[in-house]
Amino acid sequence: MAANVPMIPSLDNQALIRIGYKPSAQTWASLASIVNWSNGVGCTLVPPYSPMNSIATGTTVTYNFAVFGTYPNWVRMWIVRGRCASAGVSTVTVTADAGQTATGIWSENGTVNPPIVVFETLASRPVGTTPDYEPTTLQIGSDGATIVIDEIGCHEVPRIDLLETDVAPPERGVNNYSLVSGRDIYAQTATNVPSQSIHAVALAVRHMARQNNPRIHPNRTLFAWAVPEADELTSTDVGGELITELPVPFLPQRNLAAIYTPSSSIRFLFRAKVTGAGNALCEFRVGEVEDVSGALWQSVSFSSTSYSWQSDAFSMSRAEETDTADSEDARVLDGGTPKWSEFELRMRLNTATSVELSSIAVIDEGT
Amino acid sequence: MAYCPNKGLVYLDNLAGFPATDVETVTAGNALHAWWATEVSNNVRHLIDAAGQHRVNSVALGTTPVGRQHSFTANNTWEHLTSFGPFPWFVRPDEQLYRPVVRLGASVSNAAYTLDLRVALTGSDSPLSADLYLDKVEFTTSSTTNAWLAPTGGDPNYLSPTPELAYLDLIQQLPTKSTSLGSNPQARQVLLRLDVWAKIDNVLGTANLAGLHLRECVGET
Repeated sequence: MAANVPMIPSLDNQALIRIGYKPSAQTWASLASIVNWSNGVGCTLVPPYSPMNSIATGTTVTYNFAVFGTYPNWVRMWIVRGRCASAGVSTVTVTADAGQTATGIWSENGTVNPPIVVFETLASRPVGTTPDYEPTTLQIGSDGATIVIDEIGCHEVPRIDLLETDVAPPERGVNNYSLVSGRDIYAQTATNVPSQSIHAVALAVRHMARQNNPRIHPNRTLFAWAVPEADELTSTDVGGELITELPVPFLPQRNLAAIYTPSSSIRFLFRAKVTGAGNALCEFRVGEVEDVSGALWQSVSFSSTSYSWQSDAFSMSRAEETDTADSEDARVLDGGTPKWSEFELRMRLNTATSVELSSIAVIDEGT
Repeated sequence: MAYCPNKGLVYLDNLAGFPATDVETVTAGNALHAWWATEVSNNVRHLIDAAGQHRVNSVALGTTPVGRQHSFTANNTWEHLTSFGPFPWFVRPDEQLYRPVVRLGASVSNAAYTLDLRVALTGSDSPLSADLYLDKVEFTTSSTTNAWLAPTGGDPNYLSPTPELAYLDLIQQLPTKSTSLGSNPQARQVLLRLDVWAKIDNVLGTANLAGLHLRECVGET
């Protein structure tokens, strides 16, 4: 367990890094701790949302999600909350995509029903060497009464240690023992074990700066929504039908410093289909500085009568020091109004007879 | 300011005027430059700044979207509307919780009524109570149109859980994977819950919760 993942990242004393000072293993050990924490702590894959759909007794339904998992995190925690639609009691079973299940007993008084939590252990690594959105499913079944689903969410469970590897599987854990006070600080240049001392810290951060894949530090899923196909949204509006009751707030990461005037890619994924020959559109528009009303719509086209995931990306500009779409912007209270961006969604018919939508994912792809 | 003064990562091999790449700098026999070490330190610190997640993000969605509705049983009494969680929460190097940013969107069924809402952050296994929370922010509306609401009483959207809060009480153990331990390795993580409470001055009214947003940020340091 040499590349430990702490629960809390420790902080280096930067005052010890200066000309004339001896390099301190303690300083570098702290940096290694933060790198391992960032690589192993995991992220939220499905920000909890309210599907508000009903499931009849004796029925099991499927929710389809697109997630972008973090490479080292094999275990996921699914949370489902709900209640009976009317008087009665139901045995509710939740089944993750990898097969793990959990059950709970729900009654009508849904505000006090405990959540059902499923820990899903993946059979294989979530992503490969290029950004890839992993489709996954969650099944919920009811036995006893009609139920209403009030919340679905999914979070990666942290690791407690990482593999000290740079080649596949590249978890890039930094060996903590190599930075114990009193040991030499050295350059580890062996290509198959670049996991020790200062070199390992620099290499791990270098990969993060270049957004090398597979993704090994927490990214951001900004929004997720899914309902069973039987509860799909349907539209026949050729002018565009808004489906978000309110603009959805979000704040993407800012990975690179302002000297690079970076942009950030926000990917919108839709799982939809059409009825009839022709195509239809699922559309989004983004307000980089809160107000979305003047933004232009971007379209994702669907022409198949079978459900599929399609996507498009929005590029957010980052004027230097504007901090409009900057994850650190909320660090200063400034009277208590942190910044955020917003998006809206709509469905628009083109030449098909109708368009049906069952799932959405909005993911921050980073710089 | 947060932990990283650059507010972002710096390509170590793209710094104008500096000939060495980050990899070359750590080659045996090369001098270790203090400027390089400082940039590595800043880059690592940025990982703390940028780690915050969207922990709840729910908006009523549909061609005729309906949020979570609540019919009241009494006047001017907090009633539980909904909860989200458990969900993970990060802890800063100074052992304080990452700061929560909250937004709430709602409406009331009759413009003659006043609806108050309380968003409370608490431990994942805390008893369900309107008066038990790590921190809260409140909102009020008399509008029948769903909208994101401004917080009341001067409270910011940006919560500040008590600094001396014992985060140790919030830790749960979760099953995970390990490279070296045997069966049933456990990871420790703070888990929280978000409760939404509502009260109204006329029991005939109905609350409609149309949107709820909660994300982490590293906050002031």
